[in-house]
Amino acid sequence: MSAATAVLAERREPVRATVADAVRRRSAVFYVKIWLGGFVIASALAIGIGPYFASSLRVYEWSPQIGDYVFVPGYVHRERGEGWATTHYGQLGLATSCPAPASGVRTVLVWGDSFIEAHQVNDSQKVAARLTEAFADRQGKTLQAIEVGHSYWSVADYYFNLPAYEKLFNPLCHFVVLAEHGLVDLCPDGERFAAVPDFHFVQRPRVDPRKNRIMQILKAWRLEEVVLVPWKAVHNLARDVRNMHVLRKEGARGPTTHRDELLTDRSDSNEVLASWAYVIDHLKSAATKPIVLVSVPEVPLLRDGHISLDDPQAAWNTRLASLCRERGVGFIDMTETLLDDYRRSGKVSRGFYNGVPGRGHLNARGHYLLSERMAAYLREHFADVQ
Amino acid sequence: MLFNQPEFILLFIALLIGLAVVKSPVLRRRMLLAASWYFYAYWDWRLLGLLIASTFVNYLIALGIGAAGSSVGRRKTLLVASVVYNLGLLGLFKYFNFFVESLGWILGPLGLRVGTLDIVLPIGISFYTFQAMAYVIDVHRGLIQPCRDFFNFALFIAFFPQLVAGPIVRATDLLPQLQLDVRLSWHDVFLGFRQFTIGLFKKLFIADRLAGFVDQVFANAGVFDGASTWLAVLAYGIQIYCDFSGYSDMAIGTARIMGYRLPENFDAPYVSTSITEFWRRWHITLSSWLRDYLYIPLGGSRKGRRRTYVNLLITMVLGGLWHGASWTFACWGTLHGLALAGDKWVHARLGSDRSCSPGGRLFGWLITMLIVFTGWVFFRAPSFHQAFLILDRMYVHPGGIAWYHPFAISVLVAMVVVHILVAADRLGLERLAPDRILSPVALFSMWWLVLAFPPEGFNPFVYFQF
Repeated sequence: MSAATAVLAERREPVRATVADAVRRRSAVFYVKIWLGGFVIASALAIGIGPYFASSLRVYEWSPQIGDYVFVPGYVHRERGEGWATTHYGQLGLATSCPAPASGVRTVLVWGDSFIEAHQVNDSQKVAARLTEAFADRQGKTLQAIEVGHSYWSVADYYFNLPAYEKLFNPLCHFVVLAEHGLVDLCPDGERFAAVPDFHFVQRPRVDPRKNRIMQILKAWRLEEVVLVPWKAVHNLARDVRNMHVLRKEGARGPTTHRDELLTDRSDSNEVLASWAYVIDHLKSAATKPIVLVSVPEVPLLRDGHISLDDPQAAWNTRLASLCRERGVGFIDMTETLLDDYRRSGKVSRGFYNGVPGRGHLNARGHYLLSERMAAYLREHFADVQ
Repeated sequence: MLFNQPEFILLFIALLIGLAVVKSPVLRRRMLLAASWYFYAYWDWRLLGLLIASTFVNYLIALGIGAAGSSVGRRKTLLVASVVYNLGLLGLFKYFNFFVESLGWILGPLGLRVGTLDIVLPIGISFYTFQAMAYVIDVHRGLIQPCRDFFNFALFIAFFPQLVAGPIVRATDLLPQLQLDVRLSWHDVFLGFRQFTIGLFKKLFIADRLAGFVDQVFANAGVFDGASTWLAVLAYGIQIYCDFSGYSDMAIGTARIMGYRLPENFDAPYVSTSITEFWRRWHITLSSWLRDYLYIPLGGSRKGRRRTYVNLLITMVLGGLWHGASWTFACWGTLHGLALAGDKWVHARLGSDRSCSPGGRLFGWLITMLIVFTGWVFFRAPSFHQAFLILDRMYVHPGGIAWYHPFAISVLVAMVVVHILVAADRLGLERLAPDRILSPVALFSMWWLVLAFPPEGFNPFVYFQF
């Protein structure tokens, strides 16, 4: 026996003997059964725990009244990636916490993207529910706030959807919440929009009809929870395979600093102002009721090792306020509200325990502060709403 | 190419099919070498030249030592040449800029400026250089005959499962296996798949998901409160363990699937009741390398107690610097060196009885963990400033924003349970035998979790930077 064989023999023998004994004891059919059975049990376990730890798959339906896709009535969204909350949807894709109002109850519409969709917080903590609560008296609601928020929406989407919602709800006014980083969401496509000389809105489908059709079938068969984990697994695997060439080009310890660029860092200031003017004019032309822009800057912000109280875009916020004033559009600047609250409580209005405190979507505290400012605005500008 | 990249899985399956189809052992080894070089070059093909050059130089030197016979002077000269070459390579690529910058702090006030080099750190250089150097030293010591087949030797150096982040394999362990006709077998495939899956789970489901929390706390040191900072430091200890032992598991598993055995690199280090025991359980192949090729040649414990302490300190400081060209790593090594010397001193004063009682073992475990986790602060922090900010929050001023990450807390609790079971000898791999249904249930569950709950973004292995 050579030295090499001895090394192998010495190392392998105990394991080989164990496995070989096992193989001798059992037939191939036995192993196939064991491993197939094991796979089935493991899959059942994964499917069983999946709904507790994984965010829901979204299911939409086409609403002829609104002219866009909305969440199907009865859809319940569980958010697990950022925050830990549940949102229930009813008719017209409206969250059940702010349903279509009874007759005689005045309404306001709160427009926004994922910050207003707010899957990260529970129904009762969302801005619209808080705002409605702020105007509730012993007899019940005196004002109903309705949130019209969808992930990845921009002002272009508000422009296209405003007439339909106005017709349905006849609101007192529209709050358009700009909470995304760097005022980017004021312009669809961010800087690209600002850089195009002749600005234009293009209506784009937000939902992949084919994928949504599959989800609708799964929901009809009550299988959406069963397929959740396999769906996500296949989806992630497909994404990894698609990105194979990208993966090898990355290589760092992980995110260490806040690297996002601001819109205004990258664009010509005149172009930005022109694009904002274009957007505001279009919103005004689409609406018959007053428009109020609500700027929610990223302050206080966890940035490069400290909690920053400075808004790097404060000057831009001022310019946006002037632009709104010139064009007869209301404007709420949340900067001081958020900073005062942080100075008083030491708590931040963005971020969650399972995300990063101080970054990301508004948390329950942020929604509450936002609703307080909106309520104050309504009381100040609408005499019959108190 | 990393084990957790889909392209690795695809190419590895293709390689396995090739190894199963090709009958010639020589051709199979050549296929393995080509695959190893390809996996390495996939990151940056230009650095493959450095790897091949290093292989060639060490191959020739070892042959020269073999041919020198009993000529002590010639053997020694060749050995010195090998050590100078390997350490020179490491010095140039890994430490040149570090030393120049450190020198700049001294020369700067005198008005002298020394320029740094714009060079990239070749991936895995610390691992393959140590492996090659150990081979030449072993040949010089007469522990192994020089390998005459260049391609076999090249495969020993470049063997892809362990090339970039270990385990650091001795020539006496791997070269004989590479000279054999190793064939694929079901039991190797099962054992390898089992270990690979466990490693993948540790890396992707635990380490990478913890990284999001740990990175933020360390990058924003001083912002979060004491409890959150403690949680992040404990989470980092778990992250680096799961990251590195996960890589080792995947490396060992990959090699095992192909029929090759690599040494284990971790043995539940966080159950250690002394710092000496910790280093017997943590990165075993590095600590045994440092012991055999640095500590013992320095004199080990043969030259008196005081010299033993000094030798331990030197070994650990250099071991710290091996991890990275930064004074924080040197500080980490120094802390461990002092702790090891302290442990030896206590052992000499009190004897081994102290560790026998349950209370003594618990006390030893607490002290060991305190040292280890405090040490991780220097290991992880990019600068002393940040390290001291973290330590300040942990021990002195605990005020700040609270961030009790639920996943970190869950993993921490789970790790405590796992370690209690390991300490009680109730959690062994033998429970995952191929004929028990627990095996497929556990392994497929891990795959489901890894695939359905992937971490945000892409995190390379922590030890790749070393």
